[in-house]
Amino acid sequence: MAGEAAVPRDAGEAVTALFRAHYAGLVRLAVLLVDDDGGAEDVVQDAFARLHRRWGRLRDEEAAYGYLRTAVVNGSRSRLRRLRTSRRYAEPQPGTAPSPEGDVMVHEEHAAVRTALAALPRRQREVLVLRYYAGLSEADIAADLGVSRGAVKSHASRGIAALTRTLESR
Amino acid sequence: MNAEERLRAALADRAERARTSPDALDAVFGRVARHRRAVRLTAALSVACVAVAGAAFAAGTRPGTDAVRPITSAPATASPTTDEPTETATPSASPSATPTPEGAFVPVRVTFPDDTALVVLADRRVVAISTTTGAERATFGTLPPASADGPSGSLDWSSDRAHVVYEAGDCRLHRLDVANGTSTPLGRGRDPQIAADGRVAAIGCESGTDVLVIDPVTRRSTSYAARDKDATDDRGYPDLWERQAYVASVAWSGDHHLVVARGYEGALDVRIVDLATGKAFASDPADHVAVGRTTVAALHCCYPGENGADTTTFFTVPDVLDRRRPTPREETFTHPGNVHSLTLDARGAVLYVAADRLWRWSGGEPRLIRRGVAAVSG
Repeated sequence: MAGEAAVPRDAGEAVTALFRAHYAGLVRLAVLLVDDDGGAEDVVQDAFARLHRRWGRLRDEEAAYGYLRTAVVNGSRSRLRRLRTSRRYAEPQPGTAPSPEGDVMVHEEHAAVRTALAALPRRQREVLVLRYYAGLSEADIAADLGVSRGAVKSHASRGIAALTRTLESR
Repeated sequence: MNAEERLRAALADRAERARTSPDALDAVFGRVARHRRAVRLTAALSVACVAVAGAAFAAGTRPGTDAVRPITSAPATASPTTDEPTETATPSASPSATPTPEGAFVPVRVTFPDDTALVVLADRRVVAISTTTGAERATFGTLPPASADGPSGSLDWSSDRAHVVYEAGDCRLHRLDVANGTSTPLGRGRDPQIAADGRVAAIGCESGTDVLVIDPVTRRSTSYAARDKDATDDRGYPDLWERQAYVASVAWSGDHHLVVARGYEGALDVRIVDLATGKAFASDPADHVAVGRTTVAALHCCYPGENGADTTTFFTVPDVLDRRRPTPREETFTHPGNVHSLTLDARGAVLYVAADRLWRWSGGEPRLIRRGVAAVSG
């Protein structure tokens, strides 16, 4: 994912510029955390709206993208918490269905991995998504999640181990 | 491929298929505009409410029913917004009780009969109603939405009817003094519950895996975490449970025990926690709990029924605290739908909200009390 770009000082212009640069990428990140396209957009739009309101208080404009990414992770967590009961038995989202031209075997493989990922504890899941999709360093993940680098290492290691066990038992 | 490569491929594949709407930027600025409108309306409404309530007292009227209702009949759009922090959770030795930025709460001095419950209506008005007829007995005010477009927050009415704790948007907890209409911020939390001694239990908003117990005077809170003993994100919480888990619901049983429904994205279970010792006793699994004088009511939410529709199964567990062990269910019934608010009234009947309708169950068939209800507290 792209890093921070220079942004104008006006909140509207700044948010628009950040939106054009990062919206799609953040939605892709959110969809991996909430597994719901509509919900992911909702979380990301909310993050941009919050950033707009707090633009004047942002001490470091270069950190705006980092703020957005953290807001998306936190927003995704809140959304899951709100919906956790109703989602437990919800129908699969349309976005998870195989595309007509898609390879069924590949889709099943990916679905199995995502199912195994979804069964992990929240923190492990977030660390794995930020590391293996967003490509963040341990330091960045630690900063985004508000945990130590050691904790990131530990969550990643445990998450991968659990994922391996689940996938091997299929 | 090893697990890391498989994970990377699966994540990239799913992310690639994420869809975005073409008017997303407009939606962002729409949210910003709604927030600004709400802030302006809130400020105006707050001033008006305080002025009118003050005038009512000065004139010697007894607020509670007719005197109050016109003040709080503002449209739902006049509710304040949510996530601009107006107070902090920092404990303070002498918090000031002032009308909240939400401001719409007014003094209510009436004696409520036993068959009274406090409900949040669909338009976010907080009213006391008869659980027999559904008729309104007093209007307290209007809750802000829990999010920009979201539903109302939750609330709890103290057993002596003197206080209401409520979640005012974005996890901000307030404690309303019913007799004088003032509201004090308590910090951040969800689904607040008042003990008989005034302490407030709530679910922590930051992680959703801890229970806070807040002293209403000092506003100091103690966190109790539902976590693994070997969890690496140790934040110094006292140990209460063996596994990290989300807290779905919490209720007081007396001043010394909390009844907590918790779990992690699977079947939830109920733990009864002794706050003095930190020991927890397991009970039946449940998604939501409510505690009466001698009875725990709990429900299982959202299980697919025979016809594929969601159902909710209730059960009550008499004397569970005395037995302190898994207890067989008693008196079960199934509601055809997703129940999202549950309480016990002063007479021990179960009050619950499903599909914007308030129901009362005390054995036999549940009875519809009122439509257009979002949440209830007995």
